[in-house]
Amino acid sequence: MGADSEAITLVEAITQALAHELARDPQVVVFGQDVGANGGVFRATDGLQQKFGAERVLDTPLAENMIAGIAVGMATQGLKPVAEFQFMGFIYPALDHILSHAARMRNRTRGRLCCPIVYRAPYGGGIHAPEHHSESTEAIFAQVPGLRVVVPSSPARAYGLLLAAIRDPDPVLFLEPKRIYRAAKQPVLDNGEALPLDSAFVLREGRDLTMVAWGASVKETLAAAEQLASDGIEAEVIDPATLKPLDIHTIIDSVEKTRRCVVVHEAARFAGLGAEIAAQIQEYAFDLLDAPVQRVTGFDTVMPYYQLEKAYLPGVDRVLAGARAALAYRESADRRKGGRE
Amino acid sequence: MKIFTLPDLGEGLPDAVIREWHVEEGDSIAADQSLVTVETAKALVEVPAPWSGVVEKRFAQAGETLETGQPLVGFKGAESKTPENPQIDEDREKRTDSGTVVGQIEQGSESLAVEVRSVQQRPRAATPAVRALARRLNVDLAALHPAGSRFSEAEVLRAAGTRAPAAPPAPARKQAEPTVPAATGDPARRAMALAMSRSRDQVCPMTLFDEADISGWKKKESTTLRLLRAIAAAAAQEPNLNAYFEREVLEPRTPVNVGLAVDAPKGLFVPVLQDVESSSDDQLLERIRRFKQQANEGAIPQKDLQGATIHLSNFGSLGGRFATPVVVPPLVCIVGAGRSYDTVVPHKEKARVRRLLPLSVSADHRAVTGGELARFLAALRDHLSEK
Amino acid sequence: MQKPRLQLQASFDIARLQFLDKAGEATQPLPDFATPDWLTNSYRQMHLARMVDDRAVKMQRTGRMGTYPSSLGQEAIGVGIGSAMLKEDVYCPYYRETGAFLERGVLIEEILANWAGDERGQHFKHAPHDLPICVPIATQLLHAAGVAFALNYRHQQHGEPLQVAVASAGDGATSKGDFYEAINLAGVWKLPVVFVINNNQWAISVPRAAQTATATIAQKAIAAGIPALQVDGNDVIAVHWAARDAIKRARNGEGAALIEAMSYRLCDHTTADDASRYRSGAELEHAWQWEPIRRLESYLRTQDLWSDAQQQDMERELAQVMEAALNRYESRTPEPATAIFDHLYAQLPEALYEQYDLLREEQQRRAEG
Repeated sequence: MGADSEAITLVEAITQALAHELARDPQVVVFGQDVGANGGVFRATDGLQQKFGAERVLDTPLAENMIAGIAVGMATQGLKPVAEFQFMGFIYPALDHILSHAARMRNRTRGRLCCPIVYRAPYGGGIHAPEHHSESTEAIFAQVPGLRVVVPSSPARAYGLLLAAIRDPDPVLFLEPKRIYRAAKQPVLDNGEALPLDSAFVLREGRDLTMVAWGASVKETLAAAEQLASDGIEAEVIDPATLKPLDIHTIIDSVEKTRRCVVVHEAARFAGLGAEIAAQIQEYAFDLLDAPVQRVTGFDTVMPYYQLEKAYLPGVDRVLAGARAALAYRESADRRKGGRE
Repeated sequence: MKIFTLPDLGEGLPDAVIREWHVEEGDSIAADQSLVTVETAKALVEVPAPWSGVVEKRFAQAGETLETGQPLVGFKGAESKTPENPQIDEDREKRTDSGTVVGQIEQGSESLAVEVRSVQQRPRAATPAVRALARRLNVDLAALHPAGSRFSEAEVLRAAGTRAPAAPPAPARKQAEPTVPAATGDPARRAMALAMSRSRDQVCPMTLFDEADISGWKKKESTTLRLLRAIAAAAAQEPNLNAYFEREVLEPRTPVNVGLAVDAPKGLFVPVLQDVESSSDDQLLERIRRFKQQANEGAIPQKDLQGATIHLSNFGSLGGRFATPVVVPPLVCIVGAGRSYDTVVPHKEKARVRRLLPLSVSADHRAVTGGELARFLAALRDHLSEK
Repeated sequence: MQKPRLQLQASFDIARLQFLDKAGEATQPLPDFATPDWLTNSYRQMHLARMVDDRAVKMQRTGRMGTYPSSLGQEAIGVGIGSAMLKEDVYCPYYRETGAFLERGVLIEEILANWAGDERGQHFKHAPHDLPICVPIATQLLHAAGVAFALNYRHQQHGEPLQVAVASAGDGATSKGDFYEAINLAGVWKLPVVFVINNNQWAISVPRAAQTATATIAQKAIAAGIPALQVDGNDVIAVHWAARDAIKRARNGEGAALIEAMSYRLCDHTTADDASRYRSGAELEHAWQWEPIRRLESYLRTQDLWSDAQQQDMERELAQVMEAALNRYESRTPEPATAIFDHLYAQLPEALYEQYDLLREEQQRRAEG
């Protein structure tokens, strides 16, 4: 570890992880539209077909439903398919195979067959793209039993979590926040070390406020935490990374300390995962809270075309506003509690 | 001067050859009028003027090759006021791989520190609801031990002093148990199934067998105690058997902490006798007695189940001579001792009745060589054979 | 305006295969595999399939079985295909599969358990690699393409002998995107998969003519660039010949094929359907003349390969097989409710312990009354 490894971006970390697993495990097969000769429209699979051959890194004909469906068949026979959907906005035809089959095959056959699949898709907005290329509908998939939903927020976590996802015997929807594909570089040693799934990451420690965010929103949340620090407020920032199954324990441990929580996500508000986290926090830690759990989210509108996308996405200002609402509530709560018998 | 650069004439073609200019410097030209004919790798292409204006400079001559994005023509007196030089660089940069098929991916300059993460992967002793209950009732779970793999609501209520209904007794076992294995309901069995599966998936086991002549032992010697001492001695000789094997690295450990397999009604427990060498006989015997009692009650403290560096299974009291005991990663060795028995063996060239103690030692061949295992077993046997 | 001159780019033929006509008479010499033993065994298997279906339907009508899809009149398809596969080949069924399942070694009690609402019926003790019953229409066809890819991959990478995937679907399925996507991929990637379409003329209440405008379903294969054959689906010899041939070519590396087996659904879509609402009794009665078991029986008897005594023996033997299977089916103990958590993931995640405990406690309280 350390200065020896070249610093790489999140998308390069994805490539590094895919290359590692293709080399390590002959059952791994990577496929999707334009992933082979073109190296993927975001270059996530750059160089892989040249290195591992067209039998292991394949360009498929165009049909997301087909991509999802053949992954199911392959996985039942012992291969480990890593299938790419070019954008989350185009994943919807594949819903049937992901929900009805990949997530259920183990249960349906009582463990006889299973689907060790990774479905990858770039997701989220903020890249000035045409309609349908900016979707964040992770909540739809998180609702599905038998499926894991994983969202990395740094190059190192992208590498470690993708390794874990590929090695996991059950299907994983791996959503890659494209807005931060190239936002930052980080040294990531290509040592094949996977990070744990189902486990949250504490990115910043603090005693005054818990902030939960994932994907590209982590960037704005950490920036907001820095601004709060200059006001003497230390925020603890937690990235669940695996949205489902959720590591609620780490979040509750934090709320035990801070008493206040803000959840940040770019996806729409209603029935977004902020709602699930808030529900669980109030179920298990109601007596700890000094303020209602705040949600900082996208609006319940159609994701706008890029002219207005900045207005839609929760930026640092909106995150700060949410944080301040949680902090301010404490004072008025103290006043109320003082007045009670 | 407003610069018009050579546009991408299709599918990312890198350059083009100027074939014929249709304007001279100083000429006026209307938007969409033909400016120049160029030849690409694929075809001859007419490039129209992007806007109306006066041509101030032609940046290449006929026959010259121009890269896509390089200045082609400079206009005088155009409407928009973009600065000259930045546009050149901007266009050139666009020619590099944009790394996306739609929109723009921001190329950031932020540099993140190397990821350091303390991995604590211990499963929690209680579900969130039970933790919340414990918190509300001021019960400190860290000071208690769960009966099973995690605390139940009833246990927390009992610990808080609230009168909770006694835990329902386990239903009497009926015949024709469902085809579903009992492991579904019983945490101890489930834990065993998981641990054994992990062992099967990771370990490359080898087992070596031998017998120690224990005829010289005093009456009433504790076999377990002798085994503990022998293991400590053998481990001193072959430290690689008292070790962890993790992430393909073998790490010998000190001191020798023996995990002792204890069979109890609830299942298999493996409490740990820490630092066998530094403990007196009495201390070890007392600890063993206490562990057996706790195992029967179904409650060995969590801290006493951790930290083993080598395992011992003295199954002789139950029955059986030899076995292929299971190595539990990240440990690399387990010593199995069977039921001692009397038999006739040559002893100093005469047939004698001697008492033998069967030994079966398994080791993980990913980490330990056959030679190390053989020497360990020999040392074990020799120590046990002493008076 | 004068019609301009066009250059022909492609044309196609679709042929149909038959050996025994509806009266059980040979319309051409039978193939070598159709030995007396093979014929009588196929006859027995079709009988058994019908017996299983019949019993299951009766159980449903008496409240002891959930919705059940019978294969009445279509037994030759399942038996013909199933017997053409090697044990190591992989079957990707839809849901109307009794004959094929029996050929593949799926137990009668497993078939019954599945439709009686017990997932253990999909555990297929003797067909560990076959895919389970697939309800979402045509999705199994894409799975079959993926399976074929994996089989080919193993063959290429590890030198294992090439196994073949066989998928079946109904005529309705051929209208779905999954069907076109699957045959397209199978064609362009030259996958070792054989698609068998059971064209029983009905997709619940939608007749074949309302399903698609093509003259045959087989010709849809042309759009995928794979060979196609139509067979008389009620002639078990023809079905078997076609399956055997296509599977052999696939195993030989020649890629995929489509077989359209023409038959007629003599039963309702499932026990929850009442076909008399949309289909005339006269048409149904008329269709019985094509049914597969009677026609093979007729051939066997004419050739002196079958007698009344043999018929009685067989019926007695099959009745015993049925009873034994029913006993095993009825004596299985129900799963505990917590089984719904057991196979959700390889290992139950911590996040679900609470719900698991909740259900277990609920069940314990219920058990104590």
